[in-house]
Amino acid sequence: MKKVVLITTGECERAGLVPSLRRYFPSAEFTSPIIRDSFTSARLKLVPRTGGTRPSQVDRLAAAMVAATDPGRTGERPDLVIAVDDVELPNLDQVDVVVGQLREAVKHHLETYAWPSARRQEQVVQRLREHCSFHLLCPMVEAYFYGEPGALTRAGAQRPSTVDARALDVEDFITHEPPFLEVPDKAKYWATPDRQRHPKRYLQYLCDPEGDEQNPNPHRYRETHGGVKALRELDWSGALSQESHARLARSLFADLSEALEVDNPFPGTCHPETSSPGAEAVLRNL
Amino acid sequence: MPLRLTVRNYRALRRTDWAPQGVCTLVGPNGAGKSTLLDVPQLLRHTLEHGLMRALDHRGGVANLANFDTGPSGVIDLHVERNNISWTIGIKSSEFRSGGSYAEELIEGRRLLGQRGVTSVQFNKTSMPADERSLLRLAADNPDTAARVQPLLSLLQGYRCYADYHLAHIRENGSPLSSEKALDVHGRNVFSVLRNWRDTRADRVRINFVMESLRTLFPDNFSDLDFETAGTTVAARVVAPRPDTTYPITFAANGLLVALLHLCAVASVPEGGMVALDEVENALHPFAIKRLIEAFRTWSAQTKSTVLLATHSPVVLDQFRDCPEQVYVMEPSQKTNPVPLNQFRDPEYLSHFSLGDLYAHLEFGAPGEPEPS
Repeated sequence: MKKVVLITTGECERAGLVPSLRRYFPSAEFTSPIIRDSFTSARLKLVPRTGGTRPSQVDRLAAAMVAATDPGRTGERPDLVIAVDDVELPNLDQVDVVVGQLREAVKHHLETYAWPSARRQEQVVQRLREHCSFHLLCPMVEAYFYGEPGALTRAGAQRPSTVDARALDVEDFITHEPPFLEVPDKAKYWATPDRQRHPKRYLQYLCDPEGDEQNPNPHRYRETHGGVKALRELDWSGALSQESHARLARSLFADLSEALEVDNPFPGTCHPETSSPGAEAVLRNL
Repeated sequence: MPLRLTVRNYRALRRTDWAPQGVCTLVGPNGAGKSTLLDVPQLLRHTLEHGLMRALDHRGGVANLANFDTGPSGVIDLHVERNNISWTIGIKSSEFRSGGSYAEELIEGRRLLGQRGVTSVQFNKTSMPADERSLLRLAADNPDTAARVQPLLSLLQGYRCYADYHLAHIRENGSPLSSEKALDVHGRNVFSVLRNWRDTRADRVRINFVMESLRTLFPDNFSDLDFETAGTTVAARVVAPRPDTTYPITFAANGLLVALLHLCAVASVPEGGMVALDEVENALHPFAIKRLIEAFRTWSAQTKSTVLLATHSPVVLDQFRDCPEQVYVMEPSQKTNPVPLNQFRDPEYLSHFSLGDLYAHLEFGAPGEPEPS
């Protein structure tokens, strides 16, 4: 049985992604995920590194990917390590920059870590190219819940969504629901200026339309409760029903299928940034 | 030689085999048994001084002694070993609760020195009625065996676990005048002990260590201590680094007082002895924590003593990056607790990270999570 280690950056993914993927890849052994902090919450820039700086979040994630791949947490190297982060709204138009930062951080760690020998370094470099990947959820995991109405109910939604995932690519999420958009900015906790393209804000609205901070609604959306329930049993086929949609999630399924040598449950077009490693690849997929 | 501690079925400790040396830290979730483990040598010291029943009474009595996973017939074993002498206490909780009887053995190498039965004790081929005196106490009082049991005896007698300083009392009342040379477990005699060290040439190294360390921990607000005696009380004034500035200890920062007590606790340990500090990071700034652990290492190396630190602090753990084998992990899911971190996680894997970062991300010393409903 092939051993898979996920590195997740959100509470919902930490508790929910392994059971969710296990339903599609029952032949794999998913171990308990490694948790790291996300590096995408602010808009990223690709800038040259200056020496001597403290490790940033992306550096810590890169170090976790390298160490989890070889030697592995307990000295037993897993067959596949997959780090999963969100694109987040500030980086929606620049997946290439997100991926580029991660790639540079992995290269930097490989260059600066105190390897016992050049041979050992090369061994790990090779192992990463074959057994480690980085994938993105876009803009965040809640987007995929809109592909399955039941997932929204499990998440705690009190009213139906007006987003049609068959017509809309959830990775390019947008809602046009007037009551949600007409509320003045900041009048409710979910009424942020960027909410039209924010799947979590819309889900917060569906769970708690009143949005009253002073009288918290018991149905208020919580990642660690409703989010986990939605993700654990998520029927991904809704979000992935159109072959040209959800290309980043499709890259994840394609990568897992190839590494585990099983049929891909969702064939179609993958995102070029996370599925087409060039000659300079540092990981399986970038 | 280090003390080897073996425990079975005692409260949170299902199975423990531990021989710590140097400066070590214990990590684990609340309820994993860190404080219980640090208290075991103290329980044995109290047994030595007052008998097992009183030692257990001091800890809430004989109810709930056995680990929850132990069956009704399960035996609680407390075993210590040093320099070829091993001392074992075996308690069957039901029998102990009904009649106060328990098993006890003192062994040198493979030779049985003494054994406790229900009504009598065999020691040095002599039978005597069983009373509260432990076999180690009998051996220490017997000229034939006293020298041989001395290393184990002195380590247990000198052991203290500091978990609860009485800060408010110390601030308000100072310390009672006494001739004590070791900090009591609540720290109440701290100023008396410091003054006694200052006035005895052989012990001056201890107060020098405490004062020099405090100056490195608090460069902006500590230079020295002045002692004041009034009647039967010793108090202190903090001398600040700026000229002619002193203030009563009552107004000292919590962190300064806690660090002073930690340093006195460690400096109280006899040569080759052992001391434990529970939740060492409380009230301390990361700057002070780093220098405090450096100071502990210096003292431990000079005196060949062992300093045990229970912690929940990533800052404390980061000070063990170069020696993960000195970090001991306690998790309820493990068969044996504690386990050295370098056996719990691959050493090369650990070397990619700061240990505090790994701990903060629940990679070790974390509770098991319940399945979501």
